[in-house]
Amino acid sequence: MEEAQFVRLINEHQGIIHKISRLYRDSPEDREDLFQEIVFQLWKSLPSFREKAAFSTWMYRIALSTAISAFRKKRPDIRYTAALPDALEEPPESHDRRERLFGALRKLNDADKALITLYLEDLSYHEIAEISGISENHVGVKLNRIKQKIQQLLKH
Amino acid sequence: MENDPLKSAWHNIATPQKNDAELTSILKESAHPVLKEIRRQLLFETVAFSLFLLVYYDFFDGDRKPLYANLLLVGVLLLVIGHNVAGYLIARRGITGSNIRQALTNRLSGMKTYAFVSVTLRVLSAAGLWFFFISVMDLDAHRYGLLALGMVIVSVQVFFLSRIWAGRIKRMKEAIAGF
Repeated sequence: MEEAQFVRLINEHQGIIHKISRLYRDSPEDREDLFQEIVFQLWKSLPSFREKAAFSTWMYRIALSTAISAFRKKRPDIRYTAALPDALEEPPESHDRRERLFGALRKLNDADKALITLYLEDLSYHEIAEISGISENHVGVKLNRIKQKIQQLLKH
Repeated sequence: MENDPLKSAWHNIATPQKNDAELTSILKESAHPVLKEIRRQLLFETVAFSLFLLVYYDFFDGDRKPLYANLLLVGVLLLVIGHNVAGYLIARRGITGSNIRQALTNRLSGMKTYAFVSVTLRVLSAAGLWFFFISVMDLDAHRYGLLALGMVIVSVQVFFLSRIWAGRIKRMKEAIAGF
């Protein structure tokens, strides 16, 4: 695959890379570093991509593996509020709902974050099992537990 | 309209957009934030160790020290340089493994080996320096004291280095166990 074609594909799928970066890192600097690390790892891992498979399936595997395994820099844990323009363009309650969802997702462990990300991206249990390396049955059990955990977290 | 409120909220999350030029620049190794940092440290350490190897024989009377002490010092410092280069090459390598669990297991295995070599080399490099400097020295109480102090300093360094790696390995094991 040519560099230009790869960049086009990343451009199409960059939304999910930003979401993964936001899920696994707290500060804007760390998220930007992780975004760059994921794109770089995708580029370096490109020889392992078989063009018969879906690019997105391969991308989830590399992106989530990178997010979990990349070293975290020691930085003060400063939480930033959402950017103002974003908040002004939509009703406050839907913005608040998404912030609460992200807050709950961030409290999950690294493996649960990966599994729920794949679920939220509309992947089937079969695809989630293939990407994560666990059985389809186990995916079902894990996702039920994770969803319950999220509901509990959203109640508080 | 999405039936699952979680999915609905997820799909409606706004994300920043980078253009093709910005994405292309990320592919360059020279722009990678972590690799840039490792490269800077690698360059600094390699230059420092290489300079030391170039001048130590004259400055620290290498000709008056036994051959084994010279060989040990040079060998250990070359190993440290080689290890630093290997660390950089590992960091720039892509993800391997046919699924996330496998990729993390591969990463854990590499991490364990790298951690073991890092800690071992820290001890060996200190030992190489000591052997070199004390090989022709008459040790009295004062020098034994200095030697003991040096050992304490290196032990503390090794303790913290081991703790950092143990923390990283533990976190990776927990991530794998979470699947």
